[in-house]
Amino acid sequence: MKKNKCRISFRDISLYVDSAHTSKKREALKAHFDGCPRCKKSLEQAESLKASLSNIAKMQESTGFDFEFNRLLDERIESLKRPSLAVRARSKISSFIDSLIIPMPSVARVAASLSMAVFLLMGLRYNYVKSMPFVEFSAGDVRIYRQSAAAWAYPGPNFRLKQGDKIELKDGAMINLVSRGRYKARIKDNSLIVLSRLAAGFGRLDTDFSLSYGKLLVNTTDKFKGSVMKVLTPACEAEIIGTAFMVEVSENNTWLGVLEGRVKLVSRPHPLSPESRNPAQVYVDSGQKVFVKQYMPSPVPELCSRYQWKSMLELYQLVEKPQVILLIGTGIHRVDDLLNNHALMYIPDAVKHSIPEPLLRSINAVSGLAKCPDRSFLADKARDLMRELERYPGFAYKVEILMFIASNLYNAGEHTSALNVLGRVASEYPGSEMAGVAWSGMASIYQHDLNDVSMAKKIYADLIYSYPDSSEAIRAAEILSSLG
Amino acid sequence: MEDESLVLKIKQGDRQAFDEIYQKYKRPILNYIYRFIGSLHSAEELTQETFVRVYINIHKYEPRAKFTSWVYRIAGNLARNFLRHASYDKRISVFIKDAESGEGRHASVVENIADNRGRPDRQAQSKEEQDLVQRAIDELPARLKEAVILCDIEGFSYDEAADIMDCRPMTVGSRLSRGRQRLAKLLCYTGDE
Repeated sequence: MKKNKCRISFRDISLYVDSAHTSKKREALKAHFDGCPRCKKSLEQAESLKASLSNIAKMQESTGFDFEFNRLLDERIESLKRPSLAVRARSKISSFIDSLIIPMPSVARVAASLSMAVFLLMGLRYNYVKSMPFVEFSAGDVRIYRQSAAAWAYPGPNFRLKQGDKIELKDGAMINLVSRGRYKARIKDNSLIVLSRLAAGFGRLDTDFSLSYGKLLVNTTDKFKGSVMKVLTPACEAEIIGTAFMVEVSENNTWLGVLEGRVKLVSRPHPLSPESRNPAQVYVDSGQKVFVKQYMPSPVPELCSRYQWKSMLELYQLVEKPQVILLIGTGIHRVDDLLNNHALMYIPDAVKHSIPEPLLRSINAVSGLAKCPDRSFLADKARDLMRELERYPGFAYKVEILMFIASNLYNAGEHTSALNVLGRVASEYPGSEMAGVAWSGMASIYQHDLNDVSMAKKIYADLIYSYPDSSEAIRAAEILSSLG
Repeated sequence: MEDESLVLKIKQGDRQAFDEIYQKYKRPILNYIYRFIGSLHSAEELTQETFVRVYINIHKYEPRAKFTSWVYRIAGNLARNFLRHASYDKRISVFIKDAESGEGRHASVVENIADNRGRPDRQAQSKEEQDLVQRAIDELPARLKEAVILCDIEGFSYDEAADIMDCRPMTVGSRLSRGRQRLAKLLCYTGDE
């Protein structure tokens, strides 16, 4: 129905249909309708709608409805005659106390019951408050509308959130939310989000975020297990099964990328379309993305591009214990990332103080040369870093840095040196999650750079045998079958 | 017999009087709840619960208010609670298709239902379209939905609906107009996007 350009509102038309205006107003409206085809059409539509609604079929009860009702009513009347559960429990407790050899005085009984009740209530309250998410920090133009107070608040650190809170951010703003031990979430830029459900129980916290527009990043921890989190957007509903993911909503369309773990995504078809009763669902796994248009079924998830994947790396800032991370992609193509792109290191500020200063300087020197045209200079700096690393044998992030060195040596054209470093990771750190990547990298260098296909095949076969569940094993099997 | 005198008898424990009340109101209440929540099975359960509550709480009813309003209010509260606990989040706004492309469909759905009175040859089509109207009603917020069902489907006046909804008659008018406006827009959807 079109908006009226004239001053007659739809409310006036609706009241006119119900003859709810004064006779004077009704006459004036009648005269207007005669001269305004647009309002006349709206009036006809309103009358038609009213007629159709009044003519809608009346429902009839199913067979046995009355019988079932009478049975239910008798049952309920009977249960009212029985003493309630509380009365029965009280009588059991008092008969137990009476059976004790030295009966408790009634004052002591009441005091004991009251203390237990207070203790229980305090425990419940503590558990509830402790698990509620709070603001870790906020920057820029962030405000929160609290429904219960009907007022906007400007949140500072430790601002406790409640169900129904609406968080609004303007350009460049950011807010971190933390539910202790369960998850960290970051909302940023131009965003509007409502904490539509917060339900705490023992050891669990169910959270629903309604994201109207903007960007949300969530990283959950091991303690999240048992809790439920959903992100509701105009186009879909995402239920979190894994750990780290990002959702972005713009113009009612939703982009969702998963860095780690898994997300179940249910698209929202138009409420009147036939699919609305049984909406389609897909699982988005680690390293995949999906773009859902409003009222359209979810497409099949695809692998994230390198650019998209990098945009999700911000999620690593949301982990409980910050750590050094080698920035290569996830899934079966991470070895390609390692060799064909300069791998970068992500070192959070909170960890920097635990890295020896010369080593940190050396890492930064290599990272800064990613676009340097002088390949030999890059190789020299990578070797310097290797020497520096040898000075700290027990360094916690040695594997990551070795892989970082291997990537840079390879990109500097030092294939054999890169091979040696990867071999060291594979032999010295067989239990590391980088071991499979190192094996795969070695095989790739033999195959493509040293033209030793038989050696490459042998390494791929060893990789499949040693790390059968790794994503590199899948890639190795594909390559072996193509090599014949 | 008048409702008020039947209520007096029920208060004295007369189950037959209650049966009379039950037979009189069960279908309107079933219809009201069904239109409210959109599921016949759950509507039947809630209708039964409504009458159980009417019987159990009859001593709380004071003849100051109309008995019909009291029963409808109990049914409305149950239906609202049911919707509140339903898992599907209805807060996501409904896409309103451009009226330009949807007017034809709106006109056909609405007018077909209006024209199908007493035409068995068009019952199948009518049922499909009525289902479409019900699904559009499902999309309305509870307050608007309540006004539309009470006034347009159940045929209550503004005053009677206001008594049930516990608000002023002109508030009913406002909610009804907003409900109708949304319904009209929703029914403009052509479904072939």
